[in-house]
Amino acid sequence: MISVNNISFSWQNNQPLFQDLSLVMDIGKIHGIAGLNGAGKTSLLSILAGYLKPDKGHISIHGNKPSGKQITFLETENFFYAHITGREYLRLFKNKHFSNDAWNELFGLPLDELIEHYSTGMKKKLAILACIRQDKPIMILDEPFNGLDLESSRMLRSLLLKMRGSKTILITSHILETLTNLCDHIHYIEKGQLVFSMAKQDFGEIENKIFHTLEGKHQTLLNRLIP
Amino acid sequence: MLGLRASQTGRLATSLGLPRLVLLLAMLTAGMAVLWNIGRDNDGARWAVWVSLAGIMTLHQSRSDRPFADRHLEKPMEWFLTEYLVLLTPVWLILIMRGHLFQLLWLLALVPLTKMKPWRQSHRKARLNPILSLLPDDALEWKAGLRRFFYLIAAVNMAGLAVSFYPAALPVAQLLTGWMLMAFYEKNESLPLLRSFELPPAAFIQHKLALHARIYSLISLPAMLIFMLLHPQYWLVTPMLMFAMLLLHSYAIVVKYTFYDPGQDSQAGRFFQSLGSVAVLLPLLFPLVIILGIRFYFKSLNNLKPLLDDFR
Repeated sequence: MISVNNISFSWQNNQPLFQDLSLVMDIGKIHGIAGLNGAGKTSLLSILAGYLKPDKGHISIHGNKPSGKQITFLETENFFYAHITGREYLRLFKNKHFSNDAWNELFGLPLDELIEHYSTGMKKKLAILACIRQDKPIMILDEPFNGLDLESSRMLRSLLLKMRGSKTILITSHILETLTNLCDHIHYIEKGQLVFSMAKQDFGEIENKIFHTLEGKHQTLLNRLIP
Repeated sequence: MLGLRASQTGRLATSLGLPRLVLLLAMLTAGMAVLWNIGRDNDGARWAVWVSLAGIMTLHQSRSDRPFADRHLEKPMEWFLTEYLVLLTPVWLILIMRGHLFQLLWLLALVPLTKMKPWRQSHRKARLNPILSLLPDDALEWKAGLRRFFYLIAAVNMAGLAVSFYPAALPVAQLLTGWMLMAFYEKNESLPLLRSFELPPAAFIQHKLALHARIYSLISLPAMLIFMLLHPQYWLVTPMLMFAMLLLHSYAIVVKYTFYDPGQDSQAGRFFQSLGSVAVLLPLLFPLVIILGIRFYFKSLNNLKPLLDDFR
């Protein structure tokens, strides 16, 4: 079980992003983190991955401190050295239990080309491949479908579903449908607080739950702008 | 654009902090003093002109704001030339004050050469794949850096070998190569790349230093042996130079990780790395670089601690 226990976090000189946020996630499931822009989804994932340290509270996995040996993290923006090839990049993410280079061909990337010639979507695929090659029990994927073409999105979705059970997967997406199609649980955060956690059998209610409050807010704003 | 440059300069000065700004100003003053001294005779003035032009050409080839300027400025080249003339102010002022008007004309006539289109090397870069596959998988900076500078490094070393009967030729080639290698450590990699080594901070830095030392010693060996055979009376020069270069490269590595911010450029890091580059040309700065290097080694461990400590 992954437990987020009363974490608080704020960026320097800014309002607190999380205050006493707590969350529990089962191992071997796919968890979606949903929320509006700026709700703190990426920051929460960065804290879970150990990239950011919370000001207060702690994260535990099976009661232990999380370690980089257990977690792989796909960031929204990945920085690559422009002058290396995709294959050279992937070779860095080798795992002694995962030496099958056939995985490199998953998305049909031109791996012997320099990364400087890759499109945004190709870079995303390369970063996803690097995550897969690390073969760690927890995969944290921030917006993994952004920039992917239709075929690759489908491929990634199937891949993540196949991995369910053997890995715990945490993903964010701005598209609710992506999360409801893929996840076992969805955790919705707003203003630094967990608003609700919902299991797959209750997903029918999720649109109502999220959009009910937003609809009223949007109408008020639009009426003010266009009387 | 003038306003933009002014605010960029202001931001740079603020991000450096007062002590570093004072150090930068002191370095610029020392540079001016050296230039003033070099400009005493005609040979020195000619040297200053060619080195300045080489610097400007390198800057123009490597700057990343060219597409921005091409899109948003009506006459981008005129803007670049104006910037370069402003940057060269100390050089042309000293040339005027020392009365080297002929060299000044050379300088003004050759600055527009920067108008040449930047070299397009993409396809040639990919052709280096078989050669670079000989390097270890984790020598990422070497692979990226050699693709950027391979032809320049090759040209410098070929020229050095061609005139290696002059005792200074190979050491100068070694010096220039070592200088270019410092640029390999300018860019900050992403956090996944950093963590892919799965090493705690001290082991990670030591791995980087040892890997660099291994590759650099190996590639320097042929030129060193040729030099020792041709000029046995000066046999100690190239090993000493290699050792000095290794210290400077190690300095560049620890500076990089002292100011490491995942995937971001660090102005302070750039500043201290350029201090190391300047020390190649101004040996007076060398002791300062060594002292700073030791200090930065420990600071780099602290900076990496939150990011790599869970691999302990």
